Amino acid sequence: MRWPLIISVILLSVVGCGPSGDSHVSAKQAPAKRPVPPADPVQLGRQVFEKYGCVMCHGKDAKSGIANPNAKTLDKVPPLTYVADGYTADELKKFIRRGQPTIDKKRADGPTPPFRMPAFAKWIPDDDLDAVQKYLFSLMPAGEKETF
Amino acid sequence: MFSVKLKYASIFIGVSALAMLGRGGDRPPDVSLDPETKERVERFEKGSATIDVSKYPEGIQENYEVFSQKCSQCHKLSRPINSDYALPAEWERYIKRMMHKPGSGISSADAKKIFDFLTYDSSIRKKAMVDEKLAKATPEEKTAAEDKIKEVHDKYEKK
Repeated sequence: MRWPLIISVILLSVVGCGPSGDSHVSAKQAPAKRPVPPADPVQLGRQVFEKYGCVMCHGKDAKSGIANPNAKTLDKVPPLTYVADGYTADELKKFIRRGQPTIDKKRADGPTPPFRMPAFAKWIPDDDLDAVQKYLFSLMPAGEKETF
Repeated sequence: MFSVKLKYASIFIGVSALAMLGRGGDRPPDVSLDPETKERVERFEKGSATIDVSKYPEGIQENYEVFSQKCSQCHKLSRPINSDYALPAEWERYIKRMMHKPGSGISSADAKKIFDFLTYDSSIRKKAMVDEKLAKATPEEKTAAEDKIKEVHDKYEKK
């Protein structure tokens, strides 16, 4: 029964062994460089897309979403490659802020699709929102934009 | 003996990890539809779900059938019929948004028919709304909208 205590002590010891614990070494080391954000807003937006976890549901390059059983969108989280065709920049940013709390069911009597889009309004600052919007608009396949 | 200890250690580490994850509980709960959007959609859906198209050109009447069949698969027809979209550019974005949803069953040809119907219908049934929006539009937006409305009228009324 003493094992939890022993493991806790070991874990604390490990945590305490970080670089700051050795002042002699850290004094000689150059300060850690923070990654410089890309100047290109589209590349920055790609990072934002990954940073906030959008990629987890909408997939790499937003091309293919993960399975979302009984979602009307063919049991999947939708891809985002065509958002530039259906939204203005402001409309898309509003959508991201608001999220999609309910996902339409494919079969009304079936289960509720497990994944829904959270409202990002309280988490994502305007700069990041602008960047991710530019990134998503850049995904529109060349030559596929139609004009009615 | 070792395996029992390992088991306890695993449980402890697992519980610790879960406790750390539990800090995510500081996040605010997801909000449902914001009140403004919810009120807006509910207001649209309380309106009529049909349009009297008997005086519209034949091609537009045919497009009304496409609109009714395709759009009612996912939402009440009263939503677009009573919505505050009225300009061609607004309808184009809205229809494309629906068309690109996986499984929508709306082809590009269907989408164009639905667009023509909604643009024509708005220019008649929602004329006051169209005029109000055009009065606030930029000169470029106003010209583009007027040209598109004229193009749709010419396409169907000259037949």
